[in-house]
Amino acid sequence: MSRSELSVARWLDAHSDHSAGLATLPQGAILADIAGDGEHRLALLDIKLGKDSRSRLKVYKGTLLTADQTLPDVPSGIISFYTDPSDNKYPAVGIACGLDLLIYKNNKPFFKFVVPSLPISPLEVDIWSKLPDHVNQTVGKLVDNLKAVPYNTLTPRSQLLVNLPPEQYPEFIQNFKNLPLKRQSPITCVAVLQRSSHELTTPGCPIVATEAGHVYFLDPVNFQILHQASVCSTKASPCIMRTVGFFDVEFRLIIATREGHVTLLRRGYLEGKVLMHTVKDIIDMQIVPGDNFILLATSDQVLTCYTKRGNKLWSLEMKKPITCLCLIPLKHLSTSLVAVGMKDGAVQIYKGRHLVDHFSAADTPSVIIFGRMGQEEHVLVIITISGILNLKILKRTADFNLNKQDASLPLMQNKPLPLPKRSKLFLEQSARERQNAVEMHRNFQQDLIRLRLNAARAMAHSLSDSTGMGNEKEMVKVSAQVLGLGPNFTLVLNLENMNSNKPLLDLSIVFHVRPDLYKLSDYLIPLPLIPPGLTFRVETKVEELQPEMDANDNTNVQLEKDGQSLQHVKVFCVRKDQIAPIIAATINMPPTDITIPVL
Amino acid sequence: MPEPHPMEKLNWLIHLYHIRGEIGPCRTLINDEIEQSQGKNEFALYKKGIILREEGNLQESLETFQQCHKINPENVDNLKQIGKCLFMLKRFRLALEAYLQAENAAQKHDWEIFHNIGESCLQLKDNNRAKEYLEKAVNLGKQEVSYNLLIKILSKENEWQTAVTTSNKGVESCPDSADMLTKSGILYLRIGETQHAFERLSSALALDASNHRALLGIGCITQNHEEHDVALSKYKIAVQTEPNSVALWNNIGMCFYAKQKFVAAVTCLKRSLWHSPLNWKVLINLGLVNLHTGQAASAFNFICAAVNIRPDLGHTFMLLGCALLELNDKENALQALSQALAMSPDDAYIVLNACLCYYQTGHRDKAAELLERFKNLANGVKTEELNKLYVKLDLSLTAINDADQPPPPPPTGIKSNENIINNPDDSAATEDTKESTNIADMV
Repeated sequence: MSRSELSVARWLDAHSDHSAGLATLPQGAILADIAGDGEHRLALLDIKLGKDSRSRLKVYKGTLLTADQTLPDVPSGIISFYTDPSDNKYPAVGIACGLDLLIYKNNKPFFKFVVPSLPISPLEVDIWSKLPDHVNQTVGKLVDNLKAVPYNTLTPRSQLLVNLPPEQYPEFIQNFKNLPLKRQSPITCVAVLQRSSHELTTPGCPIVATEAGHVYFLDPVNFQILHQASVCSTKASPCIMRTVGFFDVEFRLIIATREGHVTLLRRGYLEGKVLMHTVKDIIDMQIVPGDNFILLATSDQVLTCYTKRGNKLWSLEMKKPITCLCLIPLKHLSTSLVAVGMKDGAVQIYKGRHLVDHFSAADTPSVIIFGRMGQEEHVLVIITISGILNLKILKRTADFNLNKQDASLPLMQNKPLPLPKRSKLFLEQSARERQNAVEMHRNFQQDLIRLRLNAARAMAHSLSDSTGMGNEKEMVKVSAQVLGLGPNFTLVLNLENMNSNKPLLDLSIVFHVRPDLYKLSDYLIPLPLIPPGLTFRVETKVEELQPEMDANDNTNVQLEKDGQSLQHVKVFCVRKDQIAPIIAATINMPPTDITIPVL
Repeated sequence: MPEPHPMEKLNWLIHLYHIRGEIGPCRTLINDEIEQSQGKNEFALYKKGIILREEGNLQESLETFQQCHKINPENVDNLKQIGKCLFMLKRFRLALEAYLQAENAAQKHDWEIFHNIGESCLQLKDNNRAKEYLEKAVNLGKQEVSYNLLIKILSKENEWQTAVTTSNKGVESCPDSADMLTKSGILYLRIGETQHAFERLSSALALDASNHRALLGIGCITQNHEEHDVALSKYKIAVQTEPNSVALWNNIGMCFYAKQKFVAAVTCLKRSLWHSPLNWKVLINLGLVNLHTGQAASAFNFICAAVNIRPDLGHTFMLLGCALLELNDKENALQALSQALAMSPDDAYIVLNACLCYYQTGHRDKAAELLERFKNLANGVKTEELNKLYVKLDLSLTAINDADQPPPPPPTGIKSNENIINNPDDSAATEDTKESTNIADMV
């Protein structure tokens, strides 16, 4: 049985809503008994960033959208927890929205927890106490004082103020004069820690972590801060939190940060202990129950498993970038699997480091969650980046026993080497060589020496005769033009100084022709100074001497020597006191139409 | 007017979009945030810089990070990113300065900064300082990249023992890294501890069964033990993942040569040579195979190329001499062999081959002297073929001396023997090739 057959058999495609249009991010969806009727629902955050649209909290009962309410701000996470041991009918739903943790019960607002203010610079407090009383002139001075405080330690209000144009200062200050200064750090992630029992309906403490790296453990009854700690000793912004254990007994809170640290907070810790540091960004993190192994998905497409102390155990490289992870605890099989969502829709399910199942979603999954939904115990919810909602139900008969190790290695060994067949030609040639090795060697050496000699000759020839259209060193370029049909021509030479800095000095042009073929108006033309980048034009008249008509054969001999035409003008550009020409050119003259005498 | 929001409000979302590769929405969000904060949102700018760098706009990225640094001069991360951009722009000195500044600004020791300082120093050819910083990085971070870089420097400076120690530490801190295990195995091979090398390479293969460098290493060890079929089976797997490796094809070729499959050997060696036409080891091996198949003219060309590339080795000259002898060019053969003899006067192969050459050219005294020298050489280096040839030469020489007659033509057996003599030499070349190529790969 192949793998694909198995994967079809394990999951039932229960529902797929292509028009859901959800923009949900990891940490943005939960399955919980929100209404308290035993029917677990899917609560999710639909994030909209546009100016005229608001983010929403949506609740699905089965496949139906049963509640939809707007949220005051862009939410970063959603959790559900039971608040009171005496009241375990409805769990509370907590949504981290900007600075607040909004708590809903049965879809109704219930409480709002606001993160406490961070310390404010005394200078800023002082300035704000003075600001409202000051007349316009000195306000500017006070605002300048504010600028002396490091920008990132100012309250948002002051940050805005220092960026305002001075004429708007008074209005702005009037607006805020009676309100206390606040400097709060937005909530980046939330988690729940069971208080004293594994039972889901017992109270759990919400945990809130902020941008500045503070972690607040809240009391589920009155939402006071039970414990406060910081993520780690350096600056770190938490992005994912996972919990193990009980708040009242012993717990581990594992925090992944944007900087790539994974830190551990335990009962009584005031500061997180760094477990490890990854070079690449952490995309998602899961804790495998039982061993408490930490699974990290990083942006280099690798899934890595660490022990709870932070020692690396194994890593797997995926074929596509990972977008999300989901823990699939299966109590009836007493095992836990991890679903890995990847770009372009592949979802692979791993048991430890072994792939046990895979299927593909419609496109890149953005969130995968697993849990109870409605009456169904094992439902996998996949929300893709393009907003498709997909529900899959795990078959009761599905088992995730390891497939046999694939036998790819022996297969690879059995593949023969990609060697070409021995060709007949090859064999013949080698046989020939074996017979006549000495001769072949001698011929080869002779030819080699001959080749070298020819090459050396050619080299010597080209060195002695500096023909060419340009001179690299002097940066002179010559172009020639022959005007006329003959026997009288005009030879036009253009000398270009390509050097952008130096002018050309002391040059003259010398013409060489066969005196029996051509007569020139000038044989030596001294050149004036040619400034950088400019061209100079030289003209000379060429008269072709009419050969004697009586000896036709002889004229041909005269015009050609060694197969080369003699009908050319050689041009040399020479510098005073230099033997070698700076540049030389051979200009082939067009043949004159010999006027045939009419008989 | 409501109380303004903190500008860091959506930093988490920027980060999430970025790491999941949703660059489009990420960029829109960053631009919105930068606009709203009037260019003061450090994190948004920081991410903008990173995205720009990922897209290859290094200069713009650098400018963005410099903007970040201006907003918050205390943030070490900004300095680190500036250093990284400068490093990628190949302005190593400036990068080094940025990192050194980061080192001073950082409250805590940071392996990344140490590592990057080391890397910049390495680019600036300041190996000692690079080593110093990389050692710090290794001790602090225990990261594979730092180990790799440190090992690279140590190998470059031929400090093999230290390199092995470092790689052992590396294996300890990254026990699941097949690359690190392979590296360690190859370093062990380099210093000649085959047993350790074999262990390391085997554990590397246990983690990654198709790691071609580990397979090459294991194959080489088995090949040296003359288990050519085992070696071939390893190379076959390695070739699937790395079909363009010079060393692999060279070693496969020599396996075939040892199995007397000369056509296949020539094919493989030529393939290897095609990838690296100036690899003198492949050239020598090809020359050797061709000598063996009686194609002395081809052999001469290959060996000649090898001699031109490495004129400092006795063995190449010896092979050149053998080829010339086959080609009946005795004068030049004599010259080549005396050159070889001058370079390594104590090599048994060279001594005996030179002796043969002198004998064939009629220099009986010189031949007898060399034979004497061969006799006095350590016994350990003499193989069976060498001894056989020695006995034959000895017999012919003494026969001449007794009879005092013009020398009889040398026994034909000697010639074929002479080719076989080169046989062990080739495996030495094989081993060398493999090792040096591996190291080249590593670097």
